[in-house]
Amino acid sequence: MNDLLDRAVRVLRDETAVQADGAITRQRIEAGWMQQRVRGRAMRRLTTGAAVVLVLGGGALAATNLFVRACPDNPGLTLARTARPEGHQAPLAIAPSAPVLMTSTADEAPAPPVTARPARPRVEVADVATSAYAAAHRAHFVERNWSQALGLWTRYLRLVPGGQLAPEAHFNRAICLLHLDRRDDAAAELQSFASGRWGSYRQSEARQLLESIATSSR
Amino acid sequence: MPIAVITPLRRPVPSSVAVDAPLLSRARGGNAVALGRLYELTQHRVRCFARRLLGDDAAAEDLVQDVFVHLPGLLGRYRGDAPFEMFLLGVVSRRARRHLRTAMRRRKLHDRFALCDPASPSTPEWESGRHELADLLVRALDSLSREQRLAFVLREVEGFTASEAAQVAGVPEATIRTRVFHARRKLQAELGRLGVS
Repeated sequence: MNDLLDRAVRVLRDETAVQADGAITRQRIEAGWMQQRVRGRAMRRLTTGAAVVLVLGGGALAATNLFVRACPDNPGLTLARTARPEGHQAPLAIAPSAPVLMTSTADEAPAPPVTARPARPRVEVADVATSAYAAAHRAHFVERNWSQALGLWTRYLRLVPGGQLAPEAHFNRAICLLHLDRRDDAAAELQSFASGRWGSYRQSEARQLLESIATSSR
Repeated sequence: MPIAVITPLRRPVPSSVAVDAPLLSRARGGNAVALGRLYELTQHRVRCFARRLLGDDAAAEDLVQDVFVHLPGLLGRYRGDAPFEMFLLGVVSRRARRHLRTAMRRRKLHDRFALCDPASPSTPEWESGRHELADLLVRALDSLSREQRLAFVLREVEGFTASEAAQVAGVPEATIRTRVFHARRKLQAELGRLGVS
């Protein structure tokens, strides 16, 4: 038995040492790197936008505060001057409807110029595709909800029919169809893999599955 | 049925992958060219290991993709105190969990469609059938725990020493030895159960 195990190990080692092309995998990896870069850019934009909002908001608040202190008699401002314990800073209540004329003097801190609007991250097509793919992947591999996964793979393929991950989505769609016992539809999807439309990607597996579908329906 | 050509009984020496520090540094910074070069240098080694660990070519391709897509973010953890290959295979073994489950489910799906018939090892043709033998071993490997499977593949199939396997798996050397011992016993029992003698 020991000998047989050793033999089996050697065979497995030899069979798996075959040099594979891996071209499709490389394409998928490069697509993944690209998506990471897109996500990184979006995150940077979001962070920059948030920082700009904070800085501008903080500056505007400081300027308003200084302005209120500089013009205590301005009729447009109603300072809450109710009795308060010593040392306690009362909040400022600003009547929103009253017009406030900003007259800059040498003592006033000038309000920061509002020239640049905080950058809003653009919704990239790649982001939508990525989230659609992630949802489909979760339904398929985590929740194993085949009907939901089927719908989500189809949605992903409608969004990016020629996307880098389209071969994988098509194959996973076929697996969902198999699980739902829609063998004819699954066979139609698998046929494209077996015929080599996607190169060697999943080709042997698709052929095996097609054979098994044919056998089981006989 | 192909005639079996069995390689001589010897422990294989794992091929090492030479990756230099400047390349790693550029890849760490997300340089697409450097990442591509790193892929070219290491993909064969990673792919072989993934196939051996999962026993399923398609799942192995997914694992290769998973590893390389996440590699730019993981390179920061490589301190350079061990060969890069060890680090990379460690990443593969850690990310293999989900893919292993997928591969095992896929084998069950194939079985459901009566595609693979593992219980037919008694014919003379089978005796010389290489593919069937490997397939049986893969199915027997499914009976092991993930840790035992990893230890067995690293030590027996990949040919690493116990110390190297321990480095990849991130466990003490003695643990690897124990896991391989138990894995061998279980595999022999499983092959016996499948009717192989």
